[in-house]
Amino acid sequence: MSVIVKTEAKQKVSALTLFEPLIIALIAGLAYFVVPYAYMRDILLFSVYTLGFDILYGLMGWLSFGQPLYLGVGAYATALFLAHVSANPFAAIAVGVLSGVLLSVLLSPLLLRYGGAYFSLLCLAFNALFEYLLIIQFGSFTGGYNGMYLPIEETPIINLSTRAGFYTFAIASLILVLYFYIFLSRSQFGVLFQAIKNNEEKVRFLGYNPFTIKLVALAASTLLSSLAGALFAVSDQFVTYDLIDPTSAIYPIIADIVGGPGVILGPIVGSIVFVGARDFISQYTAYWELILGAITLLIMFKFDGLVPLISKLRGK
Amino acid sequence: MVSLPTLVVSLIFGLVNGGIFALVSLGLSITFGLMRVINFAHGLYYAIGAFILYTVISFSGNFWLGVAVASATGFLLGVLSERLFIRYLRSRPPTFGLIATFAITLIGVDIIKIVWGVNEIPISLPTNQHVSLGGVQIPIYLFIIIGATFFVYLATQILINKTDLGLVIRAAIGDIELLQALGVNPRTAFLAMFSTGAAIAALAGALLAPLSAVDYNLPYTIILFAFATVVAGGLGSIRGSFIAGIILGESMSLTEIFYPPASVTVVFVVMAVILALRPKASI
Repeated sequence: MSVIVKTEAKQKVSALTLFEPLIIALIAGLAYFVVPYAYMRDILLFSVYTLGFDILYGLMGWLSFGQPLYLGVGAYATALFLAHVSANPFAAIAVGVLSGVLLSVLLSPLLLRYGGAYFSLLCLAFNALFEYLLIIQFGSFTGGYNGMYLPIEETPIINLSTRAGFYTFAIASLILVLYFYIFLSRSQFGVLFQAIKNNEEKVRFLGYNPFTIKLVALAASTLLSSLAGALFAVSDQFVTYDLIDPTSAIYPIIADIVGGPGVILGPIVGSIVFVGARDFISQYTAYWELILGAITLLIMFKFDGLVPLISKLRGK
Repeated sequence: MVSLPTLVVSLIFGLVNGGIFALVSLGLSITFGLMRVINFAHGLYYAIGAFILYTVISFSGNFWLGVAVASATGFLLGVLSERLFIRYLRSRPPTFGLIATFAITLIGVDIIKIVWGVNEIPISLPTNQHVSLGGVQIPIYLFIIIGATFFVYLATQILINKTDLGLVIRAAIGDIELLQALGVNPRTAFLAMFSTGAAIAALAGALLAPLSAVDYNLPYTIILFAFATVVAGGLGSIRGSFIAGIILGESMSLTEIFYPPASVTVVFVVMAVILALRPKASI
């Protein structure tokens, strides 16, 4: 059975797909000289964040309603490492990513026990729980609602405390993340995620352990989202509760839905639209979330996301 | 060492909080049981209840009139939202509904900001009478909330278990296709039940308003507790939500005595423990 699954999966890889990450990176690199830095940086990091969300939602159909948990834990672990252990940003990012993944593995027996709506609500509950733990309970370590500033030492070759250095590193990370996403979605696991989406019982009957498959998806999703958090922390040299705020759980969801879930370009297009809409609309009105909510509803009910819409229009 | 009166006061506060959690979760749970929709926008009804109370008090000065108008407004909002969006979510997966209603919450919260501003709104207790217990003063108002909570819970139980409307509701939760095959159209029952849930949430928001921080964040804060309650109590079960609400409220209140910073954390920890202990088949 698994042999058939594998061959089917491999057929889908086209030459274009393999070059896509490099093309995206090239465009992002050129945009550095044209588009304001703050905007480009947010798009890059938000894309990584949303790609993480999309592994669970787009590939497996599981809606994480607590993705800020991993963004926040990635950021805060990075921050605490920088403040208390070493000011080396690369080591700190690695620690941030590992902490996020470790946390998701620890939570997985409970988190993955129930599917569907329970999963979404549990994600949200754990997000809220860890926000309180980090910001209030251990507020004396993390600066509470005031946030904390981080010392970052200058490193040779790529210096993350400069804009150019950080931007280069962010693009390199995005390329890696995109290849990781392609690799994962084209691997046997990608097909199994799809199978879980369609019918979890059948996956069990085929002799697979659904828990392992779901754990891989959760860990991979966390990996990307906490990487985004670690990058935000290093870039801002500052962390605040915004990063782990459960009410921002909707942001990656909106970006993914708007762009198109389950297609690699979806989270990226969605992030461009989301960050753009947020920055653009908020120049004119404080009520940007109202407009964003309306756009989301329109796209949800009328289309399946911008990327599928564009390819449909092109096909006609 | 904690004195007995302190403990009693804390237990009373636990009942107040727990009762409010239970009331808010009631509508959320019914909506899921009936329509398979998780309504994130449910927190909006709760918040609107508190804000309408404020507006009515500032015009009329009458607290109880405010509570009545708040509940009525909740009911109307329930009718509106069921007709405008909830009914279209029934045929979609629950996750779709969750995202759509979150988007609606974003819109609703901004409307609250436009109408009532971004500052915290002060609402004072309708009565300053106290009961004295071992030297500790307990506001009468707390007992009014607890009474109202149990009254509403019992009324809902009677509505569902003893009336024709309840019969349709129970049948619809059990097997909606069979019900429709028998020639019953559950549309009106859905609408009535959904709006009642919204009205109860608005009532809860109004009742707790003098004891809570009323600002535009209210829909988010309350929905987190309400979700914890329905997850612990089991989606679709009214009794489960009620019991879970009381347990979570009491754990929050008791933690408040011993270690205040952890009081909110404990709600989610208790929820996780209940989930972990519950047999999987009961979901």
